[in-house]
Amino acid sequence: MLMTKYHPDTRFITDYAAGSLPFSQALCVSAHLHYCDDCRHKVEQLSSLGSFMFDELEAQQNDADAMEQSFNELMSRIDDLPEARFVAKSQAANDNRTQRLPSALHKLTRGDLDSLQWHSIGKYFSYSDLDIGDKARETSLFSIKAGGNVPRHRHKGDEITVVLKGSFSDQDDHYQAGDFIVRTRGEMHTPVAAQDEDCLCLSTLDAPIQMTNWFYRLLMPFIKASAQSSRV
Amino acid sequence: MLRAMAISDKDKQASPKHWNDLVLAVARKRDRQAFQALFAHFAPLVKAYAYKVSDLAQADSLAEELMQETMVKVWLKAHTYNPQKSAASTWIFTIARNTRIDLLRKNAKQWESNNEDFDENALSAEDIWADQQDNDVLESVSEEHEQERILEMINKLPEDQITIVKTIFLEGLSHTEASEQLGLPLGTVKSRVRLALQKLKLTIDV
Ligand SMILES: [Zn+2]
Repeated sequence: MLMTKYHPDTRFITDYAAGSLPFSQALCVSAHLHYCDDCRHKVEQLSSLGSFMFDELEAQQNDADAMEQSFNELMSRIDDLPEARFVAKSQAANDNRTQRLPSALHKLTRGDLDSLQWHSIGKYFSYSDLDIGDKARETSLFSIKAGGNVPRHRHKGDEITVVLKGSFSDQDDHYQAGDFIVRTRGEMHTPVAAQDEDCLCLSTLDAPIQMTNWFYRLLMPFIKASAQSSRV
Repeated sequence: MLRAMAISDKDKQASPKHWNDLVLAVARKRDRQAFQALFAHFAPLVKAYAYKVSDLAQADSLAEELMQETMVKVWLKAHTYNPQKSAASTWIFTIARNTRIDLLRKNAKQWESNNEDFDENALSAEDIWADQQDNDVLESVSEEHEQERILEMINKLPEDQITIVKTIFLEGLSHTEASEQLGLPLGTVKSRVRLALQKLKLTIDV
């Protein structure tokens, strides 16, 4: 099976299970879970913990009449729903785990990476912005061709990268599908994809607005600025 | 209705399996009485969960909407619930959590721009936070007596650890936001959560 070495730490897993992790970072954790049994178990345990505390909340109880009225309103709303609203069971199934992209990315790409708009930087590197509605962060897929490298760069904000397919190396280690890698501000590295396979990754970067100037973009062209006009 | 109310009075003692069976009854035969019993117990909890968000101005309008949306989903998704994977109360909590995320995001979006339509193809919380993790075996944590044990242990935690764990799980604040709200360094928040989880013996490797 897959040998995932790098996992989200307790902070990420807990915030994810509690539902408080920012959307783009939660997307990264969910991508990791696609590959990692251990972390799925942890999330289920922490969700149980959350539900125990939820069970202990002081119920916002109304009197019986109000409850009955509220229930009747709910049922008439339910009766008005079209039959199609019933969620297909297969939607919950996660077959071909190893074949497919994590389900959220499968949905975003409609199962076809080529349906996204890709931008190439040089011979080896391309990226595609994902607009998932988290305006505080830059989220994208990027691809490094087999044997190719990403230009040396310094991180200006905290960045999470999850390897989805293939593998890459930098001066520290070798990263494979499922690995969840956190780089903090100021770290330098030069990722190189393995020789035998293209490497596809998901990444999200804390992108404070003041960094999105032309100087920054020229220095680090592949970390695109959040305020790119096409998106506004 | 009296029947449902009676259930809600004694349901503090109801076993996790009781709720599992009610969800399964809704799944199998669209059992309205079972659903009403679930409603009597969980609707007030979902409202209480809405009131936990730190922005109280939002909480008021959120409570009724969150409760209705969550219970509609419980009805619509009952047939996807698998008692082998998690307890019904965990499953319902997960749905409420995801629905709260989406409602808060929708509100934030509306405040940013009024004329932006909600994109049907956009990701919603349930795309990122699965209702149930795709695990094969039920963890012991969801079993009958585990809830009692854990709650007992939560109450034995030092006050500073309880506060943080509750802030994170109920108020929907991340570690970073909790550290800002409580005026504590992020490292302190992290270590308190870690200590609490270790004491609860929840995860082997925190
Ligand atoms: Zn993991």
